[in-house]
Amino acid sequence: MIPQWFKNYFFSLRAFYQTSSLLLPWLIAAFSVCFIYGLAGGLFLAPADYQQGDAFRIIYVHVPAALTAMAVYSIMAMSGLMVLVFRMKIAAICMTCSAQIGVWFTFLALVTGSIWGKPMWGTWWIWDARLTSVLVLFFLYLGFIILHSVLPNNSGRDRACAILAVVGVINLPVIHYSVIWWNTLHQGPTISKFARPSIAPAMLHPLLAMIAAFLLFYGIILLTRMRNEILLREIKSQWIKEEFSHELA
Amino acid sequence: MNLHDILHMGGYAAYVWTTYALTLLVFGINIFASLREKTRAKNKIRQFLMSTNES
Repeated sequence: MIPQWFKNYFFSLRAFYQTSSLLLPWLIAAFSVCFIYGLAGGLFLAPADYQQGDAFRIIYVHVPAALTAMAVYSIMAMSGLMVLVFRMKIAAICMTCSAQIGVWFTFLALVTGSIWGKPMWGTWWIWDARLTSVLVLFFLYLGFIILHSVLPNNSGRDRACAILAVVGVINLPVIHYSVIWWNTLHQGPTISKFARPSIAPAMLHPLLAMIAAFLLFYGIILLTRMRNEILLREIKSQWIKEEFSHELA
Repeated sequence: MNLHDILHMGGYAAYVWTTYALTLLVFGINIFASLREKTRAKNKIRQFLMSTNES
């Protein structure tokens, strides 16, 4: 069903470890460029919003954090699906490492949103559809991490966690459409695939750069964490011995 | 835009700067945690390889 060359490459922890070390410097370089431009653009270059004044600058970390939190979850769920269908070890590692990063982005989205809500809505928190569904996302991540830490280390653990990740994906469309389905305090989407963005280019470009920076940051931390996990899982294998022989000599 | 305007953030300084400081903190925590893990993993491998070499 799966071609052998594909299996040899994508199912191999060794291939992943070696390829990722070539990829990481490029990711770090791209991240630095996007992050520095995004910070400068968001904090200094973009004009203040005519309604929200300078408080709107919170958008440059809030929206990327929320988007990344959802993107990380979808990657986690897709990895979970691959764990269930193909029993891929690398997918199980990707799933677990993603959860540990995604929970931070969700936390950041919730807290920065709260800090934005205080001056704009007059309240830190409200039980509104968007806020509540993102809180559910946070608890899904936490639930995954707790489940992963209490189960014994075997393939059953990976499958149980994968089921949780896949089932929880129902929450993603709820988050996305919550501002449309329900009457909510949260403002509507700023950028949409299907319509022209309701934001000026001088404000939009730093936002896109920040979104790219956050996704790249996730990529960097994900690869680093996955590489650590691979080292621990493969500690007894021959290729690790070869990889590290020069360090010991 | 002068330095005062930047620091003042139109009266929203406390909110805006807290948000950005928090973001840097979260990024820092993630970098620190992943690098600490890396050191630990490499130390474990070093120990394991040393023990197999001796025996």
